[in-house]
Amino acid sequence: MKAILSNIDYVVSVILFTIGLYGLVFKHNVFKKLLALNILETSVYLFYIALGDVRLGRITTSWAKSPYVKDALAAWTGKEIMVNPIPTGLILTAIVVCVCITAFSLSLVVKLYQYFGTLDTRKITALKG
Amino acid sequence: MDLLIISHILILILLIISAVATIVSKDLLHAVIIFSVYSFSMAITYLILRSPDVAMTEAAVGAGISTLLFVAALSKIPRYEEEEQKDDYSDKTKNDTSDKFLSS
Amino acid sequence: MFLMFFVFLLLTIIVVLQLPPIGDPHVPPYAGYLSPDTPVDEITKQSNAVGLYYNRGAIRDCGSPSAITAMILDFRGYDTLYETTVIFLAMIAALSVLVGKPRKKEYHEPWIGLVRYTVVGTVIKKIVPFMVMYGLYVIFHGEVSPGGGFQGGVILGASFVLYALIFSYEEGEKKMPSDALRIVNALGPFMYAFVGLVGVVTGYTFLANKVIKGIPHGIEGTLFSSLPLLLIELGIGFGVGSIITHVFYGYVTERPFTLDSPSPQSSPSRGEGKDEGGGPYR
Repeated sequence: MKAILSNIDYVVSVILFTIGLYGLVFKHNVFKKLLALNILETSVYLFYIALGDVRLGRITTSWAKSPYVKDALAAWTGKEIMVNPIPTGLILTAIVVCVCITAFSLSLVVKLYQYFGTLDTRKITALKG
Repeated sequence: MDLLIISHILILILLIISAVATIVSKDLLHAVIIFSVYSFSMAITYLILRSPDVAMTEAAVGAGISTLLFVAALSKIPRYEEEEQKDDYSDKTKNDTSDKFLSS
Repeated sequence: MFLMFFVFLLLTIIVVLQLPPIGDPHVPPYAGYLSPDTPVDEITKQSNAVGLYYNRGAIRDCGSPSAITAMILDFRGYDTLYETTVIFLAMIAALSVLVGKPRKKEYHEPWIGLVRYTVVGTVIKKIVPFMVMYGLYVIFHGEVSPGGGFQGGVILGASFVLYALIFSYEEGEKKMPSDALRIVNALGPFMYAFVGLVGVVTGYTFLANKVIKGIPHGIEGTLFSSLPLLLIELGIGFGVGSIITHVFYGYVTERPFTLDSPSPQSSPSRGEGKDEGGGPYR
């Protein structure tokens, strides 16, 4: 239990990934599949941001020293530690790509309903003749 | 166990519950609203994990733009996931081409 | 079938529990010591030397005190150039699918003129200027605080969309016409490439920031921290705002077009299309 509690962000990210994957595979409405795709993508971003976290770390935005963090962190490690900025930059681009994919897919869903009259994938991909 | 760890665990439980509720609900408008709750909880989780840039982006994009686009698309497609089971008063045998009466 | 998902979940949880605990400062992914007098040899021996360099060199090699903005727009600026191009391409793709013509006046509900006297209308009329101001605040403060071009651009676009959503689409079209939006859409990639080409023209590399000698570099630590970064953020901010508004206008004015007669005279963009629902399956 202590192992799960110390890695709880990774475990929750994996659970959300499975939920999104279940919705993507097993639900027949195309709109519901898009919602599940979004849940899938944001779970991966949670995993990645949890990799770059430092408890009692300092967020790097200025050289001014924060008095609240300094004493606790110095007591724990003996030095001041800053948070890694690399995952933040990668995830910013990923979030932008996610919203672009959603915007384009939704326009395709609207046109799909107008062409087929239904949003059920079983009926759309049914073999005819 | 200070307040930060307790709130962190509670927000993660809220994430899982809202993700399950999004997938399960049959009314698509309900699913979109619960999805915006999910996105907002994810933004708070990013803030607890010390990335304010990503938290601001996820809050603006997920709870703002993504929900808006979902609702704008939802105004043009049917609102319920499966078609309602109406009472079928139309003759199902109208297009039935088997000659039941002529063959007997 | 569901059994496979449970097996996948259990295996992945067992794998993920083997990772080091979250937030442990004695494990390599942290970005290290703060003091500027750590010798260079000790930095390059660690496995996360790049993160360490971004933290220490943010204010020295690029003007802005925020390591994240300096990393996105200066050290890894090539990625952000193509990210703005991706946003622009998504807008082109979404708008080319949503074909439509301007709505006729007879699509109005009869009460649309009275919205400004309800609770929602009064509150929104007072709030939208503050939303625009907050969006501009986030864009301009991208160098010293969390924020930046994309976040501020999304807030700016959301304020215009909110106005067009509550009052009718025609009111929003009067305040923010789509003919002006068509020019501002391209401002994101354009401004980024323009700033990059300035570096080429003056004799240095593409997207050079602090090595250029002839350009006024700002005062570090203030809002005007670095001239190329400020121009890039303004371009991205206004570009993303207008892209979001234009895509929303595309969803509103979208009309189904028929596939029975695909000749150019019956497409709705010519103004004389039939307004029936789509293809052969309806």
